[in-house]
Amino acid sequence: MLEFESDLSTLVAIIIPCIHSYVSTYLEWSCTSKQIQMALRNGTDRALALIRTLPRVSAFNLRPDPASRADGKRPRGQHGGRRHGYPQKGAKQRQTFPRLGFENGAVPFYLRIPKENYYKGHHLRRQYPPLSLHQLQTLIDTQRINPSEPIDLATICNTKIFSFNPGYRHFGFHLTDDGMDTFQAKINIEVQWVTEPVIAAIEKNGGTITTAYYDVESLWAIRDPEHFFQRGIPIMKRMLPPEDAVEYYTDPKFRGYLADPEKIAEERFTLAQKYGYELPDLSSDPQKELLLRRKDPKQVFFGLQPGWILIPKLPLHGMSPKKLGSI
Amino acid sequence: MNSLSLLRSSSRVLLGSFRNAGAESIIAPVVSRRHKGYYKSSVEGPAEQYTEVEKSYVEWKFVEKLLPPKLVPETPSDPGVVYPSGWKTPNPEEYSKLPYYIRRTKNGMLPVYYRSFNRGMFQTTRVRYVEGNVWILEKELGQYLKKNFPKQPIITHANEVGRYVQVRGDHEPMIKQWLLDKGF
Repeated sequence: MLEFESDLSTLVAIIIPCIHSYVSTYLEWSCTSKQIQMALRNGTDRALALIRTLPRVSAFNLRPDPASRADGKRPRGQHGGRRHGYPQKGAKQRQTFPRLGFENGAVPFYLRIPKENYYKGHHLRRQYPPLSLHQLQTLIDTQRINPSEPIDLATICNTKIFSFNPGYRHFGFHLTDDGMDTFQAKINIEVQWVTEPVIAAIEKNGGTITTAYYDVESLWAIRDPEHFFQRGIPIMKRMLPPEDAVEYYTDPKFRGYLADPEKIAEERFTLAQKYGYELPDLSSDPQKELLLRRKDPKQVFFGLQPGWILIPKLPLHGMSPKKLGSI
Repeated sequence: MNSLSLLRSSSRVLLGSFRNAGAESIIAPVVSRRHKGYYKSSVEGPAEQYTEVEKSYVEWKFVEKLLPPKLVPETPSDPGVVYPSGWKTPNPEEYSKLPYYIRRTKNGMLPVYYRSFNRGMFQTTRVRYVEGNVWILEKELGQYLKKNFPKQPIITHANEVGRYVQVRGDHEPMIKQWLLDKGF
């Protein structure tokens, strides 16, 4: 190894002067015109001229960065020194230190400061990032969401303004009451968490709201349908909610998707009485079909069933069914 | 919830009876199913059952609805209309009278931004994309805020090259409303 290195160093030592002289002779030989002289004064051109003459880069002319390799031996004394860098006796030589955090008998910092378990286990609990009614109204006003189609997670995420990350235990959106007094849209919306006044605000305007659970795999699919279709895997069946979520999603008060529709109708009526508005009649509504459109509890996307596969790795935009058939 | 708890209680009763019997019990454990996804669930039938494949193109329209738009959807164009959320379309009739112009962002919103530095100790509100006379805008903005906050020091700053006017403090909603009233 040492021999190799010494050869290399001599080689390096040899190469550089060679190049230097070669370049200077090249310059003397070729530079008659002033233009070429001016051109070669440029750093880039000089570098390029140099590269043309240097040998090919290989393991032979490469050397590791000296700082990257640590010497195994401690550079002290013969065979490393009598005490190998450590002082005489004591904990430093014998490595009998106390535990980390010990403060010589004083109550240590990590015990002195009390615990405050406000967020204990928060990383294990389901979270629903908020989406306010005001934000929803703004999306509708600026024509980012079409109110004549049902609104679900995919619709909200496709605006590319709102998103959630299932990796952070986000299980969908929580429709909040900020802006419920000025909410005026008539929509069919499906979210994951909602409170009573928000339901009242939506139903007052003649719309319908449903709370539905999506399991983690379905969430990954619905938050970015374009990416999911390009994966080329069959559309999944949506799983039923876990035990602690069943109570919420079977509750007609929260318009759960697993609740009894008759009881939901009753709750709509009582809520209208509670909040003091005239409950719009759905049966005589011209948009009845839109407002009553619901997904199957095991369905992830509207109109598409579990088990279906989309042919992947194609530019999806502008791909008509006829073109697809020819593939 | 009720049906699940019933299941659980019935299995507990079973266990109890086995214990009382005193016999060598082959206790059926409470089946605790960990929440699985679709792909990790076992297939219901034999593989030969799933050989039929049918190609369909009719449902493509549902796929198209699920694809996001490539461009920001166009906002309504009727000038000066106020929408329920408070969002308003620009009104050229009103703003063309003024010596400055503030264009909307690509999402159709007003370019008023609140920024804070030094852990909230230093706050500014900035009006960007100003064209025309930034100095008059700075003056008018300062006057408006001073009228509303007579006891607060209103420090304004204009940058002609950067095309912005900046005010110390958090005045984002007020400035936005003021600009909307001017028709921007």
